[in-house]
Amino acid sequence: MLTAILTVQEELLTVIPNVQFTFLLIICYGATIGILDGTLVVMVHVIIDNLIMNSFTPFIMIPMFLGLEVTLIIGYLLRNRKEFIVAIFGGIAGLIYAAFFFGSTVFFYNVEPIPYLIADIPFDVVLVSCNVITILFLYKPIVNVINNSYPKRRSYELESL
Amino acid sequence: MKKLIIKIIISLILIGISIGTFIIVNNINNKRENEANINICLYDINDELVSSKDIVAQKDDKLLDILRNNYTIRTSESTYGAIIYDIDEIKTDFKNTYIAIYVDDKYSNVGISGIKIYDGMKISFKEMRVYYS
Repeated sequence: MLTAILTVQEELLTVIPNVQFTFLLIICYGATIGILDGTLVVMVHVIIDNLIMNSFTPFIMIPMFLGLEVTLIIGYLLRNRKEFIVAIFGGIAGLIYAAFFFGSTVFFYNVEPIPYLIADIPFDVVLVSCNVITILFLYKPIVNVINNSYPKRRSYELESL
Repeated sequence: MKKLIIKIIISLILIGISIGTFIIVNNINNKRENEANINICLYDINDELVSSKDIVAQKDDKLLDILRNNYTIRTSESTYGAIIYDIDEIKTDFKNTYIAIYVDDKYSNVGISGIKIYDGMKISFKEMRVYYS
């Protein structure tokens, strides 16, 4: 269900470039369900998203997965921090995500790096702003909802897997 | 309450920065789309190249203004538009010599006031002798 929410909201908000709740949700998943389950969510989301967007190529899927995985790890590491700190690192996660795509686009699609970087600036600013704003307002409420909805796994349940 | 106010202020600042960035980049792109790189060559009476300059102008700039900004020129006005007599070292009097205008190596059918700027154009000003029949 968490994957479904992640994928559906991203598809619904495709009309507005870089405005999405993806980073907010992944940070919340990192803070609540942990890295292992969060990685599964990210993997399924990357596959489905690229199938829908007709971009099922490793040159897009790999940087997307890496960028979102870094975001997930940030969410996990900052799970006990205040939302202001999480928001700052959420913004940085957006830049890291953009950096992965920059590398992939420049190396595999032979795009000129400087013009691409300059053209990408407004979208990166929007992405960072969106991440910070959504995390500031929605991080705590969503984390509370997920924690109340999904019981934490006990150690003996993990051992039986 | 204090936290909420701080969050709102931060959000408004970020929204302002995002909108401002889009406006600035949009203006830069519009200016770049409107840019025209032109090459202006001057030839003397012996058809030897005197100077060649690459100039970045805007597509709606007037050629006369571009010349005024980049060369020392002498012109006069006529019913057909401006007539150019001197450009830097090339000096004519319209009795013995005159300046012919070539656009992309083709003799221009219009005077200097009628030439429209576009990206990649080459304008040559050649000192020519006046022949009387």
